[in-house]
Amino acid sequence: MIHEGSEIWGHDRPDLGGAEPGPAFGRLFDAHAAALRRYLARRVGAEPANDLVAETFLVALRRRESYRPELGTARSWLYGIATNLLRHHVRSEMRGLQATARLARAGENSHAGHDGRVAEQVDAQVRAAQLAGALAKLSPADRDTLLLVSWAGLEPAEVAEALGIPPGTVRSRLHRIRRWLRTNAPAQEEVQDLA
Amino acid sequence: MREDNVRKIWSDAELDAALSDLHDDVDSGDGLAFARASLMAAAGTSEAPPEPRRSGTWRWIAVAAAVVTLVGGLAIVTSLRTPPSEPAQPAAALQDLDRALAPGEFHYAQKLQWLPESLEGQSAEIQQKVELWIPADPTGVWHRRTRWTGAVNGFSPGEQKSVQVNLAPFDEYGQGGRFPGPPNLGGQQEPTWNTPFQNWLTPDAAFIASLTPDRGKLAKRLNFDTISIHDSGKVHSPTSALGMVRSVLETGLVRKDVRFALRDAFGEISGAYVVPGQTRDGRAATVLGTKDTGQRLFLDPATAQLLSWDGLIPPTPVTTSRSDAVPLSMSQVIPPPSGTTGPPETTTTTPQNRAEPRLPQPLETTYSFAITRTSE
Repeated sequence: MIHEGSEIWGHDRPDLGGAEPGPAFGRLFDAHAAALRRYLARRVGAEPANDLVAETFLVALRRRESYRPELGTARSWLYGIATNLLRHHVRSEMRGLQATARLARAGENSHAGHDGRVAEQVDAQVRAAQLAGALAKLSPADRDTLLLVSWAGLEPAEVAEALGIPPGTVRSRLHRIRRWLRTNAPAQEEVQDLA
Repeated sequence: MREDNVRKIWSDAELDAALSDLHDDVDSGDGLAFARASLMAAAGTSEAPPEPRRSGTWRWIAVAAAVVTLVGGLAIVTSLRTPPSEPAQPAAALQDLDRALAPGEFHYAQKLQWLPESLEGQSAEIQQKVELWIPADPTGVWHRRTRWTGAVNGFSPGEQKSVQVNLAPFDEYGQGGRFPGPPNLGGQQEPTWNTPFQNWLTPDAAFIASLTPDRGKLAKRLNFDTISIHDSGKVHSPTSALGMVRSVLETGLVRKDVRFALRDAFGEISGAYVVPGQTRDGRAATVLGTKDTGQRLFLDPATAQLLSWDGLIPPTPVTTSRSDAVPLSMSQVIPPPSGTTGPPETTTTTPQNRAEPRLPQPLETTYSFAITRTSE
């Protein structure tokens, strides 16, 4: 527990409830905004991500009294807010995944005549496209869980804090999602309208 | 469904690789300064607000990984040197670059840029060099080399002693300009897009060859071409259009008549202007500017080749790594493109003395072009 006036750099559970929140939130922004923006941009695109980052921190500021350091890190709290805000951008995310998924078939037809290095690149692109199609078929909750770990770099315990679910649920959910993706993503060829 | 896909199951490594590659082409963003100012205003802390920024670029920027390390406040100094002085070539030398290349020759383009780095609250600019070799037949293999020059700007002499720069180059190769990284969306179509996807921000040989010196058509394309999977049909901002122009000119491969047409087309964009001026180092230039963010691109008046750009590349704060884990994220550890191996990663720990973070300042990126007989 970090008390008011103490140094928060390097600490992950700052006191955000002081009467003058500016400095604490400035440090919070500097510590987390860029990574949060990158995560959100991968999910919904660059410009919506800029807006979502701003909105996330404004919501956090308004709700700072609700942050309980003993219940989780500031990072997981911020990603929890961002995850809720992402709910308004599901269609945009789905469009992006579908667009990428359509590359699966195009990429598979482009091996001919390429040397090994280029073929590897094509393989990687096809794999990413296949994954996009599979991700589009996940429920929003499953997609949040997976990508908070894989793209945002949160630990399962932090994902649990962010989503307000038990850590054991996160771990079992991750296991189930990954097993499903390993089995089903390679078969993502027929792209349908998933929105 | 293909037969060989019927029972295929990915390994965990294949799944992780796909997750790493997917939508990894996000730009470093230029909207955070405004977001921060908004937050600070809402928190009742007065800070000078920056200009509103709307970029909209969804840009793949290949950056060498793992470069700078702050080592726990300890003085570990390697390869720190004064910023190299490598000005762009004088305009007269640029005239010869539009001749036809002989077999075995390469178009060479060099970009020197300063990337803000925020290391646990300490801000500095790190100079990066990106070199590109394009063969006489542009459909051949392109070579891109990215490395840090070792130059650091913004640290006090004492702070510089805690900076360690990894100078290892990061090489990428791409057939026809298609480098490892995001899937090539060129030509794909979505219902909400104005046009099929166009590779303005990741230009390859095919895309550059498709550009014609039609000013009106180019102006329309700068406004409405789909350049991001998240485009919704709205007209691009002037800054986005400037990014499109800059991105293709950076290759050094665009024909002279197309370069001039792009210059003129940009002048027709609402919120953009084209005026005579000069670069920061005093060279005569044609200035392509935007009114929304104030970014400016400087072209050689005689050739319309790129000289410099004074746009803002924002900092990406570093997250401190934990002692029991691989570093979570560091600005230097921007993941290398898929299918390639970047320089080794390093760890970061908290420096003992911290300065107040600075808002990003406009930084100048300079360009030079040449014709070479080797691709490295």
